[in-house]
Amino acid sequence: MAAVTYLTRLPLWILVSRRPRPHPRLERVIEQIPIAAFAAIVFPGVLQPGGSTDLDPSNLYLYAALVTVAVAVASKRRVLPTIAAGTLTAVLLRLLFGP
Amino acid sequence: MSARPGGPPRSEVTAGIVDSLPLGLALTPVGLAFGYLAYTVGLSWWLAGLMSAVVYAGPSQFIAAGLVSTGAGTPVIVATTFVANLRYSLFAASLAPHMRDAPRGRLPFVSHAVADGSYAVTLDHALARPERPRKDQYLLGSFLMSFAAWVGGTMLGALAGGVVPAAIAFGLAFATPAIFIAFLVPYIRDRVAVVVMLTAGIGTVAGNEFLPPGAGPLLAIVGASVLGGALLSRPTPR
Repeated sequence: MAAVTYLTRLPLWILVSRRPRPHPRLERVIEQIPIAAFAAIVFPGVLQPGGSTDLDPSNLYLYAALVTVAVAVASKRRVLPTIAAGTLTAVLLRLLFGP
Repeated sequence: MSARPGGPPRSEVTAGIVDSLPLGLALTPVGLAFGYLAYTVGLSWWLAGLMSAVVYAGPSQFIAAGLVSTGAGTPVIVATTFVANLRYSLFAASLAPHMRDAPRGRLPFVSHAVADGSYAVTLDHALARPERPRKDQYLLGSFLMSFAAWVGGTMLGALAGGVVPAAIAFGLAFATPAIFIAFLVPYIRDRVAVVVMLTAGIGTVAGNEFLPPGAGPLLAIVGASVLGGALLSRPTPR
């Protein structure tokens, strides 16, 4: 597992760091990677909390996510208040409405 | 602090450590959860910690532990790990252009630091502060914080088992989506960004339902990025 994971990290890391700027078209694709990557973590984290899709209103992470987005916007991208608000909201919702 | 000629600018390492403090806070409970899962599938605390140290790729480790519990063989686990972690190639391609002033000999070592969280923090830093030197040192600092949280959390979780109260555990499990919401929100500035976000997010959710583990996020990230790049490269502007 360690070896194949290292293989996923190394080749492009070395290759791209030694090259001049890529073609503008490719550069525009590369610029989208963070957006796509973070969405690929957030969406399943909220919509598939136990591993299977849960779009039911009883999925408390849906509300915690809304609060987190609001705090992220309001705090102007400050990470610490955002995760603190999100995590505390999830704990409180669970205490109030959880099983 | 001034950089000695030829020596590493230490202040960049420190900056990486400090800026990654929230990330460390978010990663610790995930480490605890992985350690506990590793314990339940029969890994000792030190083996679980070693896995977190040398693989250092959270999502694939959860998938692997799940596969172990279903009795999957080594080839399946290794192949799945490779597919699940191929997105690090994309992260590397996205972050490497900011590493041009790094000594070549260091890059193979720092590549181990390319993981979801440190990638987010370091890219953020590189885009916001392009004038600062040695982003590899910054990445190293971010790695040190993440590594301590992830590996420490794993070993604690495996040793302590399920001692965390359910409501707290439920909230801590939300730390990962929460921190990546914080990373994601600043990027959502135009319509193309919204399309990329929805395509990757919904694509991943659908892929997790219907595709082998690890394949969904990879395909969704590639597909959404190519789509976004194509939209931005259209001849007529938005």
